[in-house]
Amino acid sequence: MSPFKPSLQRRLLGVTMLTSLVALFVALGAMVGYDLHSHHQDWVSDLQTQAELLGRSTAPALEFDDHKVASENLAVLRLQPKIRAAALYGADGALFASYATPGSTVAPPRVEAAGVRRSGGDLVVVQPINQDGRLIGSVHLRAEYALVDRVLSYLGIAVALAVLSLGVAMLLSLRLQRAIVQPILAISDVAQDVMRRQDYSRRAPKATDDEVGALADSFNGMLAEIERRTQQVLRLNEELEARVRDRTAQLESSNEELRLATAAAEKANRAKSEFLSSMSHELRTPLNAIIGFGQLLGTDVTTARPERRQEFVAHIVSAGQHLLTLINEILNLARIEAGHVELSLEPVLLDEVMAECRQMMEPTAVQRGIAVQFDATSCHCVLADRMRLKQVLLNLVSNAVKYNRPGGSVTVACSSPRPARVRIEVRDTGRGLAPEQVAALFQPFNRLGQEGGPEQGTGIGLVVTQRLVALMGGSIGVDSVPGEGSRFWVELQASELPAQPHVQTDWGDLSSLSAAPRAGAAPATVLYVEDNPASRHLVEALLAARQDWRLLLAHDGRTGLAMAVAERPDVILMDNNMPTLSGREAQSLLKLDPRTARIPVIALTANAMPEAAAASLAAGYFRYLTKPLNPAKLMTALDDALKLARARR
Amino acid sequence: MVIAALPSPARRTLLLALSALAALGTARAADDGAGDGDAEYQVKAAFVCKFGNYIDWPAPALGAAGEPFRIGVLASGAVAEEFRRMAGAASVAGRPVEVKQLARGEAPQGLHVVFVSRAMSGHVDEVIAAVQGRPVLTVTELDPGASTGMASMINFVVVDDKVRFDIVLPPATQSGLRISVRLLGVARRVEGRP
Repeated sequence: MSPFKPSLQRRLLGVTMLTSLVALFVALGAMVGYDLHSHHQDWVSDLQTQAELLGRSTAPALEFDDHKVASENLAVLRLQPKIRAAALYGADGALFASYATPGSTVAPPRVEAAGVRRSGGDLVVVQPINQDGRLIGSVHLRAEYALVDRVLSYLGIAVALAVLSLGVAMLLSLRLQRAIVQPILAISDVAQDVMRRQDYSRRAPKATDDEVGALADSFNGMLAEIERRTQQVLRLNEELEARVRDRTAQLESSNEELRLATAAAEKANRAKSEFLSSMSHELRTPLNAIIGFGQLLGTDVTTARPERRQEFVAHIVSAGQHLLTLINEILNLARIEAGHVELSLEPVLLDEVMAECRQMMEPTAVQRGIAVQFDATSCHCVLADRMRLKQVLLNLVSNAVKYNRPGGSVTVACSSPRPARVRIEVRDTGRGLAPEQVAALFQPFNRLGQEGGPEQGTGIGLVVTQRLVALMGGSIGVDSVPGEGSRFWVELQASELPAQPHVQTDWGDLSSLSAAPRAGAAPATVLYVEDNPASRHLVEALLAARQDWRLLLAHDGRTGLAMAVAERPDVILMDNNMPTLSGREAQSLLKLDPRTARIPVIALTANAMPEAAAASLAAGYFRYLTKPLNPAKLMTALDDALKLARARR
Repeated sequence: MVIAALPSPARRTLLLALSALAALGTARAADDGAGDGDAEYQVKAAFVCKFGNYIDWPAPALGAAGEPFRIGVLASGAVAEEFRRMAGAASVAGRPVEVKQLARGEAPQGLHVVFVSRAMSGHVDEVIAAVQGRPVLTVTELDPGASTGMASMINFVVVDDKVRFDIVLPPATQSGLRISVRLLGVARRVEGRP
């Protein structure tokens, strides 16, 4: 196993052994010391007793000078082999009788001082003999001390005891240690295992309830804490990595977007450059004809025949017209691009618009021998600017007629492929377009190889068409099969509100409109609130003939309210369907304001429903006029309103 | 035996001294009481003074405390003088020892010990008879076998030129005296031992 175990055990064992050994030696030393001391005391008092007894028993012999009896008395000591020699001295100190074991030193001839002393490893006791208080002699005893032997034997016993007790202590200690060392070793094993395998889920067993148990508990607590923190760190790392991944992906995607945007910007830039160079070219071409023929006319004016000069002028006029068209269209496109085009989105019945288109296109189609067929019975209604929608349709149909094959046909149809969407398709039987041509179709001045063809064109029409459709919230596309023909389609938002059938306006006798101004009266003021520019232009054109009317125009309801307060017009014309503030709301506000309450308001709206007209009149409108506008009715209404206003004043 | 155990120079000196003592003793004895040998009677006086310590006297015999221990000596004046000298240094049972020279025919009164010298041996029976039944230790120096009459309690003999003594127990016992076993241990002979 690990080197820890033997070391700890060995140290514990060493401590136990050393402690036992020291305790043993201290105990043995104390015992031996005590024993030796008491042995000495005992032996001394033993000898003194013997000397006393000897003295008493030999006292008569001494007193009556009987050496024989004294010697006999001494000889009894042979029964006590530890006494090596003995002697009796008379009162005068002279040797009286003596005894000695073989090989021992004989007693000295003269008595020595009384007392106990050691001499050459033997114990010597000299004791006086008294009889009735008189000193009658002395006893001398010489006995082996035997202390050294005793010490040696004690040493032997001590060594034997030490070996025995150490052995027993070792066995006991080894057994008892296991109870202490085993839990510590278990903790140590777990600790090493944790370090080796980095497995913080391990736990040390708690075997006891003492300090080692507390150690195991603390250790386990620390492990749990480490485990928790490790998991936290891992989780944080994962989160961090995920975040880094997300950020990297975001960065890549935004890089990609940036790259695309850059590419798009570059492309747009290139397109703009190409557009400018194309425009320059397109503008120069007719100018070239104008200037060239103009110079010819200037130089050959004397020589040229009249027919020839007529031809030159015709060329100049034609080129000038083409240039005019070109400039108009470019300006149109520029206005669209700059966002200066105003659109008035309202429900439009497709059938009406298509009928108008057919009327306009039929002469050209017939002239070219192209059969144009309009599917004008679908009754679809779309949300669009009526004028722009007609422009779009005219462009598409005129293209289809222009670039058709001789004797070909054009079909215009509408359908509803998806809910709330209406699709208008213009199908021709021309040469069709290759895919790369389709891709370049909506680029300015790109006439797809028709530049040298017989048809005049600017190459801007489709671009304008596309922009207009986009402005009306629709989409435009083309499907084409080369050799068979193309199919242009426009998708617009369907409208739920059925529009008033748009009948051809009966303008009536417009000359009557320019009636003589009312004599001696200042021109009356009329405020027209309308967001649709076409409608504004129409009214503007109608009233231009009337000198007695001054027209004020407002683009929306709010402006209209402000102008009504500021200008105090005599009459107000109010459209209903306007952004931010409807005509109805504006009219009620005007009625609430005392400064404007007396001004008569004439409704001029596309909503021809009788209920709406009745509700409006009930709300205080002076008259209810519907689009398309009847100029005569408008004039009558204006005159009536003026009369009322004058009367009120 | 003891002499044999001694180293040879000491033995020679002792032997010379003892032979001189013996020669002196025989001379005195031959002198027939004209003057007892000093050395012999010195020893005997010392012995007699010490006997008292080895004998249990009946309680009233020694009298009140402080009363002297009295020894009567029936002998020549020199011997009595020797006794007196010895008694001066001796004590019996913590009492001083007094020596009284007895005249011939004088009845021994108030004595604890009566010593009859060899020269006065003719008066032995008379003395013994006088103290019979009383706690008085009788000491004689009769020749062994010579006594046919009343026996003394202790009788000195000279053996190998050394003063020894024999003890006869019955008269002592009859007199109420108990002689210590230790004294018996050093006697040459003890008669009447039960």
